[in-house]
Amino acid sequence: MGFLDRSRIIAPEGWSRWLVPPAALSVHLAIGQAYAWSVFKPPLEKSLGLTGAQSALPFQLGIVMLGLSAAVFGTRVERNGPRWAMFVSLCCFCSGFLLAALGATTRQYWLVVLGYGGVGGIGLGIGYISPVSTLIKWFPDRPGMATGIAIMGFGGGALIASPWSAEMLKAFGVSYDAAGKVLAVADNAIATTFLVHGLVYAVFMSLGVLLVRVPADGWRPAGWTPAASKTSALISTNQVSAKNAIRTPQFWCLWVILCFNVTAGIGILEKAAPMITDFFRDTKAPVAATTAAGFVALLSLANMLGRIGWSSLSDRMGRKNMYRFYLGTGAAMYLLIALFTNQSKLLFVVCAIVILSFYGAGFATIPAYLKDLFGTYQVGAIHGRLLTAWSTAGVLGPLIINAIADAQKAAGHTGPALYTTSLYIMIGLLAIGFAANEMVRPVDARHHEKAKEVAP
Amino acid sequence: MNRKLVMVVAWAWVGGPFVYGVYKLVQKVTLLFQ
Repeated sequence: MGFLDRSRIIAPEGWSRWLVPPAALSVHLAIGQAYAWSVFKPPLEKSLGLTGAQSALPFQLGIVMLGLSAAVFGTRVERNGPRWAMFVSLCCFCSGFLLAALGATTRQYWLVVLGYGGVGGIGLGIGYISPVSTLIKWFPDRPGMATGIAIMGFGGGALIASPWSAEMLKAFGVSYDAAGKVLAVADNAIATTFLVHGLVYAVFMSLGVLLVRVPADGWRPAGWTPAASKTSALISTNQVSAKNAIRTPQFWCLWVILCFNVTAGIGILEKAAPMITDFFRDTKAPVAATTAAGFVALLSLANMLGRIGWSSLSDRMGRKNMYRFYLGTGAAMYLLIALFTNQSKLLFVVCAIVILSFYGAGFATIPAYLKDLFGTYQVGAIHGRLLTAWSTAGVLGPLIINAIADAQKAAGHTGPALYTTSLYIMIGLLAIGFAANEMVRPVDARHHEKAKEVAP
Repeated sequence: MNRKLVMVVAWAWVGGPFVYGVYKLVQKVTLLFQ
């Protein structure tokens, strides 16, 4: 593989590990664009005459492909190294945009779906796991902080892309009214925007391809020993392969924890604006559309800060304790919203902020939890397999909250009653996640690899 | 190349767009208090 080969990126003596986070962030900040797909939906609907469900297809396929490609290619990513993985991610993610541009200009929507969702989605999966496992290897003394940095980058990617894509669409000929509704879409406005995205992200991600390094065999941070980090029985100094990891109950406990923590958060995130509007519709101080937009932005900020903040704290508190905190307190926050409904706007906003910070934290802390239990040997591949929990939650969360809200609306209910049942379901899911976390024990020694098998 | 310069350029490369994104987000959050 030459330039992309793992042997070409072994860090020389004196290489600063603080060069690795920007390499990881250049990939995660780019692929995090996926969560800003909604910016493209109204212009696509106007231009190609699509329904809301149709215009969501590229994003939905992208998230499914993220989980599948991370699970399928995880072991290869570990074997070939992060430069190869970042390069493949760059090629897939950016050519996805180029294919989408071709689809938009020829008015072949299937090509937009296949390009952005299918090809681009493979780039999402490979690009998501590789920087995380690389950072874990560089920061064995602070794995929670390391994974928090990368996964905060994924959240940050949407923050960058959302305003940037909107500005670009306007610049290339999409016009909006004062309420943000699309009035007209100029020929090739969307295609040109996709094209520029593909090219700019290719340049942006190339930093990661050029800069990423893996530590030399036996490298350790100055003054740190593996024994010093073994502050809990759950932190293993042994290594488990991806193939063996999925045979352990620990893997499936973590799968349930991630799936239900994400389901609980995504339920609120997906319906944040209509939810706060519906909750306070019949009160003395109803929520205006601009205020609801501010609330959504505030939740995005909480989601992002939760990733770096809570995950970094997990290095001190221990991963199991942090998930007790996320799942237990998260359930209590949902209960407060369900009990006090529209009695206090401040209470509602604070509870939602806490829930969303735990949603982000759940994503960011899980790779470090995997590292504690299974070691660093194939942590990227194991993480890839675990991301199928995210794909499941991505379907489950919105399904629960939308189906129940629609049913309540059809029954003539309004206000908080549209969501109360969903809130209690989320509490139940978080309680199951809490129980799964309590069941996590050290991995049985029969799953450990022999020393010569983990040698590179 | 000078490693300190690489460090500065690398962090500015990712930090610049990130600061732009956070700035735009904070602008939106202020809508909540209007």
